[in-house]
Amino acid sequence: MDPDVELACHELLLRLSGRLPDNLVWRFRDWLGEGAASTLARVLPKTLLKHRVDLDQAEYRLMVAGLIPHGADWHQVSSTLGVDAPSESGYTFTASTPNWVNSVDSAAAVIDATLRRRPEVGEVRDAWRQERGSGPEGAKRILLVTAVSGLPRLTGELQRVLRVLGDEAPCVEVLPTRFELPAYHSEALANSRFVCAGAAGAGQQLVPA
Amino acid sequence: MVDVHGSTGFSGDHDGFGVPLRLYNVLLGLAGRLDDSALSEARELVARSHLDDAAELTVGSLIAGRIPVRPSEQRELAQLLEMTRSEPALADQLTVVDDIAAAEHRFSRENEPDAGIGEALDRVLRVLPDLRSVHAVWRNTPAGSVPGPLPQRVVLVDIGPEAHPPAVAFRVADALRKAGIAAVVEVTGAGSERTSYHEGALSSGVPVWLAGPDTARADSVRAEPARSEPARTHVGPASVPAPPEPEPEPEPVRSAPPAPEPAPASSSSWTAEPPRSTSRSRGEGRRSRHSGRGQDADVPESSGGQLPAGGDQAEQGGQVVAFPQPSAEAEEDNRSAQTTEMSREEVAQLRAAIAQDKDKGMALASADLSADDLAQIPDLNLDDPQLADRDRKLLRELHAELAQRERAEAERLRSNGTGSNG
Repeated sequence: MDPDVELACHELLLRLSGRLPDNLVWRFRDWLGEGAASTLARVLPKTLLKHRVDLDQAEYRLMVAGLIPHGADWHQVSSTLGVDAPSESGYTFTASTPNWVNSVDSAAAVIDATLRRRPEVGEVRDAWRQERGSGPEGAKRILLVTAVSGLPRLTGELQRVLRVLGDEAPCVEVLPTRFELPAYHSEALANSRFVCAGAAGAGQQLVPA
Repeated sequence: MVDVHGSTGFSGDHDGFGVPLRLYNVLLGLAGRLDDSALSEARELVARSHLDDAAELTVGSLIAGRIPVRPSEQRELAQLLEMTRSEPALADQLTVVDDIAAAEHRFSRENEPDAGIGEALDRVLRVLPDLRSVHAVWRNTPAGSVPGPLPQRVVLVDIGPEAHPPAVAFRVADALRKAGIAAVVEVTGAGSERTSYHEGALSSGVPVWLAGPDTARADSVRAEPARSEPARTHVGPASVPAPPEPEPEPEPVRSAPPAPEPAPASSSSWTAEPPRSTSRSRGEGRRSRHSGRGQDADVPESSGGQLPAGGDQAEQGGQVVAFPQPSAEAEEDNRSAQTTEMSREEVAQLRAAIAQDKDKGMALASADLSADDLAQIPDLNLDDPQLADRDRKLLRELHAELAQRERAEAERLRSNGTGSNG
């Protein structure tokens, strides 16, 4: 797959975090990570329309660049371009691990063991997301990772790890080093905690020390 | 592109099968091969009539996971994609293999795979029509390319022809989810046959609930008005023992008002443990064998006919299943499953339930025992088609054990001279 096309798909899926249901987002990212972009191209535009998720112009350009080459339907793609200002995220984030999480955080330990000093990986952080107005009992881990290559595949790999560890719809955000962070990710990073660091981009910290 | 107009090779070629059921049956065939999340989500989409989404989720997951499918499955999926106005060309990307080796899965009934399920499904079992049985088992092996956590609880539901498999699968899964029980639900029955995966799971599964012979229709149960008097004993398929009452009927049960909701009073069934509080009385008729786990034997304090009436044994409802468990240790609480560790009172319950045919004489007449001490053990009827082979085996074992206990009891009493007056 053309790296630019793949990266466009990946960035589009990043921007859909918190806007599509988690169970769809992780699945679509898995498909991309496994190279099933043509399947994604046929399904994603229609899914956005069904869930009434409009794209802004930048996202629309990503969709055109990433999915049209793989056979996405022009009519559907065109219909996804919205004109209204993006609505505010319905989530808040916190770095504090909820009380209900076992004091032994197996997921963080496994992520550390997997990604520490890994060549293409930069910094790894996590945050806990909860819906506005709801309590911490529904908090969900958001894993934030910077990487310099193989982002879709790394996403799929980490998703599989977290699923086996019990998170059936994992939220794994593997961010390119040059990426204009959406509000969702900015807020998550601002309320995140350090997990581990790979070997890539030692000076590129997601959150200034 | 895959020929979407040819025969799929599936038996019956789906004459009369609607697209939802065809889609559901494809998913059924993929159980153990596709990840459980995809199966559950696709089934919910089918039940909610989002057929295109279900077909695309299924095909997309198969493609991305490079999960092999048979040529007949590929054709069927291509047809379904077309019939749901999706893109049938997606099926061209499937990994097609003529001969797919059966996935080896390991199942286990250890560690209570049925814990909480009876309670969680209490209402579902009373509302949905034509449910036949519910079993639960742990699957210790991963499924699909993106498996979830292990072990995976599998809940197997057998249904009759009046039940709609996708609807049952969704409702059962939804009830379990709301109760905080993670499980994948496999519904099989008429028109949706089991695969070797389901057979393997069922052979290791723990029976949670079995319908009585006359409970094929839940609507017939619902149609009966709630009664203030204790409901009647229910028996399960064939001669599944359903002890009617362990003690003289507690008065509160008789005097309590009818259930406020259109609960199937006639479905009130037996549970070997004493009935629980009012809030649980809705579940009369179809009790989990774990419905009272961890609780003390409360004195019944509500209506709903939780305790069956003594000699009246009209069969209406499904019932709790009380089968011996291989991991019976540390099960000294008031569970109903311990036939090998039963108290005298529990044995009396089982005897009374089995002794439903009043026309048969007592086999142990020489021992002048009271009715509470002995009950006849009727012949087993193992021809009921609702019974799985495993259920029959367990029934035989249970029956044999009861008979042995009767003989031992009679022998003991004879030797003590306590019951002999002639």
